[in-house]
Amino acid sequence: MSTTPYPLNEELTAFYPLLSKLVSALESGAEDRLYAFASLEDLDQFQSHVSQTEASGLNSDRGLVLRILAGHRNFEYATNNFDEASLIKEAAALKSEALAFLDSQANPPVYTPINWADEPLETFAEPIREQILAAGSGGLPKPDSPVHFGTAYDPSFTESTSKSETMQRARILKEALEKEGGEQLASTGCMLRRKAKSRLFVDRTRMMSQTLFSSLYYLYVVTPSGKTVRDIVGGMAGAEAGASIDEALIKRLVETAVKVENAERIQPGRYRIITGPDVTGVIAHEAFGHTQEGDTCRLGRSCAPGLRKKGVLVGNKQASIINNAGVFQMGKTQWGVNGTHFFDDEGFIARPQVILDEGILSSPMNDLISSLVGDINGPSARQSNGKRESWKRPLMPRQTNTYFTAGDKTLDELAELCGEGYIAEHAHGGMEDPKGMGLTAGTEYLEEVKDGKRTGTLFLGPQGGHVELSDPVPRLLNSIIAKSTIEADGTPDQGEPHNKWGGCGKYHKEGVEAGCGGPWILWEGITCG
Amino acid sequence: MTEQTFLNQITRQLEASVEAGSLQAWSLTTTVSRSLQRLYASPDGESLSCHQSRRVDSESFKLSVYTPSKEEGMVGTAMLDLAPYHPIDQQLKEAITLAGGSQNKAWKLAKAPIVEPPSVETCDPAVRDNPEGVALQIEDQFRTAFATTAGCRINSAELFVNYITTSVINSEGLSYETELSELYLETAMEKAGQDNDKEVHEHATSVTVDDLNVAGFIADCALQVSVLGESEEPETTDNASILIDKEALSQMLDAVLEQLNCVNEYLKLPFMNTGDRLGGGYGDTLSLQLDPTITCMVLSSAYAADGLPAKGGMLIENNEVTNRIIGNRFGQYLGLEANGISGNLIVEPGTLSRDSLEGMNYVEVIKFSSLLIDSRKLTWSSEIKLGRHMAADGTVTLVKGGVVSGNLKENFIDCKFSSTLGNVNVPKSSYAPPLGYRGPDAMLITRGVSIAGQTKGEN
Repeated sequence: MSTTPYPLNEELTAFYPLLSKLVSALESGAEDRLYAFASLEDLDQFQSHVSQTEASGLNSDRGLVLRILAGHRNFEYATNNFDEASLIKEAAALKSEALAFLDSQANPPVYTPINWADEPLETFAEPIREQILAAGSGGLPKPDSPVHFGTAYDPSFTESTSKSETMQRARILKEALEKEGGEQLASTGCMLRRKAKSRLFVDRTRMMSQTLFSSLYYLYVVTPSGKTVRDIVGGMAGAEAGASIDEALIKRLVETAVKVENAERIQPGRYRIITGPDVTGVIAHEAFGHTQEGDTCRLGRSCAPGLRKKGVLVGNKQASIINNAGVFQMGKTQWGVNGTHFFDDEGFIARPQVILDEGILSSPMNDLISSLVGDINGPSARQSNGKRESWKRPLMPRQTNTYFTAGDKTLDELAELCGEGYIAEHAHGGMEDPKGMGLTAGTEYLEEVKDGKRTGTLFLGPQGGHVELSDPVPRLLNSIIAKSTIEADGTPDQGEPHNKWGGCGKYHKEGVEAGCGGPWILWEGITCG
Repeated sequence: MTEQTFLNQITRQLEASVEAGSLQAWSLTTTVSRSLQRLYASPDGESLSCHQSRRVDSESFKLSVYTPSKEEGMVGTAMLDLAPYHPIDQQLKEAITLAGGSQNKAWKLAKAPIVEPPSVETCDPAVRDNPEGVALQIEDQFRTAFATTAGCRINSAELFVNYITTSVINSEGLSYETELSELYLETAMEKAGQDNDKEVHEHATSVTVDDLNVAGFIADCALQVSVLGESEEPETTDNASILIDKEALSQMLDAVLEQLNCVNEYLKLPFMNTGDRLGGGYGDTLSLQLDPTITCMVLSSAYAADGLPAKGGMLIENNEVTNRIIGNRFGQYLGLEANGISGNLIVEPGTLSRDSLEGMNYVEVIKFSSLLIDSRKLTWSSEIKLGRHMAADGTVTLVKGGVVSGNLKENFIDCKFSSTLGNVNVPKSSYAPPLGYRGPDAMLITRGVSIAGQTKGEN
């Protein structure tokens, strides 16, 4: 496979001078009192959905955010009106507002951004480091040298940039599902989405941009009683991400649907469970993912700072979780997933952070203001977690890709260790309670494990719906018996563990893209209902 | 380019394309919104300290195009966001090309009604004219209300003051505008002066400042804080009785509503037809209707989503499906006459009172962690974030954790609805469409509920 970084188009590149002017209007003459940046977000997305009806759509959205950090308060103005005179006026108004606020404060703190020279290049993932150095012609870029980061894609897959081929592929996949399912299914469908999400960022130290190019293949079948079985294939790549969809996958989807249609229901209770990367990831995301978000910690809404201060172990030696926006390879898969970025929405470069190390909590995942204000343990390092749903919504510390570290077993070995229990492979939502350390992770269904072997028999929840797995987080994280290697088949590990395509709403709103994953994990017992 | 100039240009080009035969029909929705957003911390636990203050101005243009098809009885369809910063002719050309690749059974778009339907007020003029003033007013109401509480600590709060205008035009002469104000207030609170492992995290939404009822919202939060304390996991049972609130009930009925929409029949998804029954038994009967005419509710509108004049109508009467939602497009597909039924969910009150619950053994779910309802299977499941186990002897135990799941087809049998009514008014979000509800404050479910939690005698 020969890949190339997705480029920034000329039309977006032309925004740099305007962004520079706006930064100047926001902070000029007051750099010793406040810090400002301007950021342009651009969405170019094509989607084709074929089921009983056909729908094609092109989503475009472009918006600008002007930000001033004054003391410990963020002031923002956001718009999709790009009239320069109007924007300069708004920037001046924002600056006046921020300065008036500072005048009302006694000794407000001042943030000074770091230069390229202060960046820890050696800790960055290879694609990030390479593109920084390329922009600087082998050295570090100057503040006014634009640096562009693009996710890699294989241009030989023409479907990546062809809307007609994408529509055709959606139709072919839908028809394949329909043919395979026949009378056993009520409905089938396929949705394909190609997205290029770009961001330009300018502050006094740098000019940079990123384009995250992703592909999503969503295939589903619906049984006569309304039970839906789906498969989501995709990643931060072009159509090569969908190359693995073959007849076997179609056949498996239909077979699973038929089994689910006739599945028995489990009795509510506690069972020994093996989670697949998808469900493992939801547990990572919900367990000490949300609980380790910087705002939740600084606002007194998380138990994590208190536990960290007291040095409480919240999991066993197997309980290690990483948050990392810089995931560009997952096992044998040569691309990342939709939680991947090069820099966050505040211009901070991606880097891995161990948020739970063998049961020991680290400092939280921070955006800029959370890193400055800190929690009961004081200020802590800034991370690349400042994200927002879109330019229309507020920014908060959010997860990128959150995953358990890999272990040393194969899936067969885990099943053998399990003895009697169930496998939870396909995620169905999840929720956290950062204050009370409650956790729930859904799975579409459970597969039985008997005498150390997978039986292929599927079970639904006690009332015929999906199955929720729920436990207090410390109990859960202390119950990890063993973890698989990344591929779980005995081959040596490479890249990061597999992360699955996902999204996250903080409590119940502010949807952002977030990958999550890890290895297959065997848990001593989880409450299932 | 001003919004009106852009609209004039695009409308001219769309009309020209229809004239030239490259387009069969079109519709265009323009949305202009202003949003004021404030996020607060509370370093001292008593006052609000804004840490993020935002203003947002946006406009968007969503175009649907319908192109002639080579195949008889079919139409090409595509939707796209029009960008004022890109040439209109290129965007239109792209839309037409896309439509060529998406073929659907043809249908006729809604025409302008002969008689304009009566308009419905869905905007608080104060939000439209003075959003800053509204934000200050709500902040002030919050502070005043919190000052009357005892033993509470504020952790955080959020306030969104939104004003949105939407205009819809199509090639058939349909043209109407709507105006909507939205308020969102959220807070997280806990017991003051101690280390806690529980907090109350609630939000209120409304169209008007008065309906937000900040004082009532804060009082409710404070009441919840006052009951926080030691808790245990609920007991495992395959036959639980639970009491749910109007928020959960409205979400469950909203899932039922999907099966009352004829769209499901065409899409070959589970649906309910006239004469089908939902619930029954010895409990209160379920009667459900939609009403688009209630002032300042989020689903009130003179027009239904597909451009038909909106009408209210009974859908379930005494547990029997008496009508369905038949929209313009799918009504034509199914050979059914469109009825324009849309609006807020209206449910008749029942007989349940606090007194009538005495002597019963049930779990009152104060807060679900994440209530996931499957509108196809009509099943649901969630962890209990906070609840109360009410024993028959009157013993009350706070419960937390475990999983409660249910089956709506069973849940509405032998159920009881409260005799008191309440409103749910949730604006659209990136997660879910708007939800407007006026009906019972609570529902007692005695069938089709399982709880997975602790089993007495086990660790």
